[in-house]
Amino acid sequence: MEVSVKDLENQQVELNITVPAAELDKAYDAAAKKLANRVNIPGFRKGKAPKKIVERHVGKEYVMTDAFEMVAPKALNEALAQENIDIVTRPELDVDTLELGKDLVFKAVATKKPEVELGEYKGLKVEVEKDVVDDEVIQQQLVRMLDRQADMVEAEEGAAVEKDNFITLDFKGFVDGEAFAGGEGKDYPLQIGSNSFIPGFEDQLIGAKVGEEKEVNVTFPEEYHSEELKGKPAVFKCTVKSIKKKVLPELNDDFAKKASTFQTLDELKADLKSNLEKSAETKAESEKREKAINMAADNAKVDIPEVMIENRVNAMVQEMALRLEQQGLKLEQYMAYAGTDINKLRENYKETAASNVKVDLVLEAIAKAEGIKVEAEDLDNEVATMAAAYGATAKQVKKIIAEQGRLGDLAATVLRRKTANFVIDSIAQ
Amino acid sequence: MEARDIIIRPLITEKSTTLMAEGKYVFEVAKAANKIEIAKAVSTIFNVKVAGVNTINVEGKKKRMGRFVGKRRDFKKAIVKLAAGETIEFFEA
Repeated sequence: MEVSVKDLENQQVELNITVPAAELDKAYDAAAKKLANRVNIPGFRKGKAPKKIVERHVGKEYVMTDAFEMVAPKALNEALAQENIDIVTRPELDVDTLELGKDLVFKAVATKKPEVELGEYKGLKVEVEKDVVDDEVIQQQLVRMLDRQADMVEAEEGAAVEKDNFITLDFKGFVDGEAFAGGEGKDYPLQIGSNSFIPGFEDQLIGAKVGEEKEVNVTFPEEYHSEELKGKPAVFKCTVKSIKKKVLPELNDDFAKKASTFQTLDELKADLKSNLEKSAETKAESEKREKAINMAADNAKVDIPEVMIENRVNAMVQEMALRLEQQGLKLEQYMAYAGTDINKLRENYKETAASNVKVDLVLEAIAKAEGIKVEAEDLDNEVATMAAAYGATAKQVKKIIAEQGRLGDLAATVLRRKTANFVIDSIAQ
Repeated sequence: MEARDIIIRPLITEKSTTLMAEGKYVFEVAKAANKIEIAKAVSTIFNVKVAGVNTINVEGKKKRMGRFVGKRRDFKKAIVKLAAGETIEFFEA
């Protein structure tokens, strides 16, 4: 096999590959045999028709195309290995000569995997701020717990609405003296001060008593979602139906018993503290990892071809569509809700995609430079974790991955993770 | 009868292709033709020497569509053995 390589612009590469005639002939025969298995020729059982009959039935060109498809990818892979080139896109093949008894000559154009110029990646200095766990933070946690345990108590007769009360009310809105669609509600629950109604509405209800009718004058904000209502003054006739107050339990040992499995408040506090510290620790740790990897990537120089980023964006969009589908949503529907379109979405993903691609490339380069390799046992470990996650046996998982032809991907993932760990382990303390 | 009226079409099947190895070629022939006529017809059309002819009347299969019984056509099959070394290009495709 002869190969000549030519560099094109945009980091593309063109390979001219010549395959000897004998190999093509062999593939041709194999293709005819394979076709015989597929096509139905009257008078012959499947796979029993001789080459000549098959040729006459489907046409020589057809057999030839099949033969080419058998030979070309293999030849291309060999050529890439021979010339030590990695490509990242599907190569475009272009046939020069494809004839029986002659050498097969074809061209393949694809984007090369970019060269990575590694910067500093060992012994990086990474600083991460750890969240402080002090009494204040614990107190905030406790308040949140109190809030969850709060009781709703009906306010006494004749009480007026106060801030933070939970009320139910009937209301009817008028714009220019006329009721409008969607401006009416019965027994509508509202927390005063929650700002769920238009600004000013809730404040004006303060002081109202149960059963009392009150007029609320508000102006719809300019950014209101309804075209007809935005910026218009409106009058709401409101009647408060009930008032409820939120009563927080007292912060003492009794509360600790009720809200947790601990007997005393001090125990609860101590537990909260250790939990918060633990989560602060993990957060700092993962931040450190991320920073270290990003730093290594930033220090390296890579000229990433546009196609790689595009491919990654595609993968991300697809992944998202899949996730949405699991929630019973179509990507189109989601985009309509979120008010974006496919172009905006892709634009959003682009930056992340670019940095992900860069990180991947840099990690691969580091692995190469450091001689980090994936061992069989690493793969087995990975498969075992996956198996545990899906509740299947390692053997099944491995079989499925192999069937999908993704063992290579898996190995690449494991290699990247291993390299990432290497980078992190080398962080200067 | 003209030679081309006697030989109707070659029969190319798995069985007939294996017979070719023995120099035997299989045709569908006119019902009324006899072995001598077939031998002559084959040698004039394909320009070969014929060593022998075997014939067989193939009866069409009975087929039914629901309650209607039909019948496929009958035909005469001829297995023509050529003299040693002779071949018919047409079959070789």
